[in-house]
Amino acid sequence: MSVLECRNLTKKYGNLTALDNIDLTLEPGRIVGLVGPNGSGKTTLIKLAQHMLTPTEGQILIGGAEPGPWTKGMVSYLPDRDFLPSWMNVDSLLHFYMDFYQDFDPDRARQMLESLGIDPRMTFKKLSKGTREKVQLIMTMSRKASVYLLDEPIAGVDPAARDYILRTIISSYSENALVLISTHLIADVEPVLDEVVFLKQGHIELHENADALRERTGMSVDGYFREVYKC
Amino acid sequence: MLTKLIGYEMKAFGRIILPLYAATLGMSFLIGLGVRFLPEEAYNNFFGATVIMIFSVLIISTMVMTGILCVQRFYQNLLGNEGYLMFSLPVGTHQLILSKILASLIWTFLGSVTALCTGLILAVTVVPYRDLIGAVRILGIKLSELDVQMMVNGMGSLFLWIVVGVLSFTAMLMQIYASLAIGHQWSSHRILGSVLTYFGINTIKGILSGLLVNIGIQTGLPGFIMTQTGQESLVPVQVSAVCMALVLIVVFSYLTWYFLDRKLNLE
Repeated sequence: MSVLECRNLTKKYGNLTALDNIDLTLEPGRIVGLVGPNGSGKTTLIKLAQHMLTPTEGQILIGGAEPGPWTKGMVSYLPDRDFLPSWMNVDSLLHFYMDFYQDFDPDRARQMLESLGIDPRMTFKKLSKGTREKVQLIMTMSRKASVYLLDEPIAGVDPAARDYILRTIISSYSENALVLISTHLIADVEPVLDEVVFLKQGHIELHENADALRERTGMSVDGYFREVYKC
Repeated sequence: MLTKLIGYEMKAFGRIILPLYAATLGMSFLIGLGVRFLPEEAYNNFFGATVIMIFSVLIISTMVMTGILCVQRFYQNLLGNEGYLMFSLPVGTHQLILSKILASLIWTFLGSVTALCTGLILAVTVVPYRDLIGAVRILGIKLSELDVQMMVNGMGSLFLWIVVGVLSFTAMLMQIYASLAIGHQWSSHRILGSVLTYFGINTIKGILSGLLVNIGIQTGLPGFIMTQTGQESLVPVQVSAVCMALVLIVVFSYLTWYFLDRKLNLE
């Protein structure tokens, strides 16, 4: 049974069509790379899944339901920016997540914070950019969610932090969960991907198993991406 | 969930506003003691003027800061980057809006209590204890001499005015929230969009209330007759004001909800 499904999904911003009649079905237990150049509709798709945008036409379903408070309880979302209140300290953020998400595992979060040497008493705004991103990822991945929507989780962090983030994603998500990673840094995430969805100007260019794609094209996903999106 | 949202909102407000309330109360106590115990020449000079000025600034900034926070919390927490967190919570958009409005009302109430306490502290510290007791006794005697029916009427009217005040303030806040939600539809210059929306709504409100007054005068509705003829009872005026505020609250709440739930446009 699919956990995320798009049916004839279209999103327009005025005259600009960000997503054009998309049909997509994603199964649980998979790590899916949502790739494409800037402006291809990656963030729009994720925002639609999280009810931060409403479709112009068509439907998007999470666990069979239209996005709303119920689906937000089963989706763990990491936006592509600093989104946690800057005045709160890490420990307060932990309690905030515990208060609002039944599936949040504080022990897992504390363990990850400790392994990274992040002091829970530190105020969020006083952390470095890289550490803030790690804290946000820890909060997101410490939920036992059915769907993880990660929008550019490794953009803007150094290569060592990227490795940590990817390791965290792999080690944290439950086997029955769907992890959708939006990125244009394909080479970095390629080793963890089960499937890839290529978006191009609001259309799905390709949706394929990562291994099958490599076998079919004789190229890495990153290499094939460069071929498809060659300027 | 609504309780948790309000609790979180109270904390966010409190970390800024509570030190201001505490400073205002502390300052009123110190000024009261100074006026009572220091010789007149000690405070009747530049130092005294400075202390009074600081106190006035504290009182004004407490009021202004409460107002600013009521608006800023909505804007920053729902329409800024924090909106990505808040709109990801498993709660309805109506609960997010309700938590903002309720927390704002609670903090405005606490601000009013602080202002009252400031006056009380000044009275208690400045006026000698015996004089204060005497004044309270005289007040008690004067009150007991009043006609019971008049007191009941007075209390009722005061209660109605408080209701009018609270609802009108809520309607004003909801108008600001609706303006911010609508102004956020602009792709850029969103603050300008919100300000223009606010004034646009005010213009529409002005036109509609003008029409309503005209209709009221022509059809002879009781409330309008009272205001026109200047009769003693203000109850119809108060009831009209309550109805008007309730209508505005409903309209602005719906607009805010619609633009946040159906047309959310976070950067």
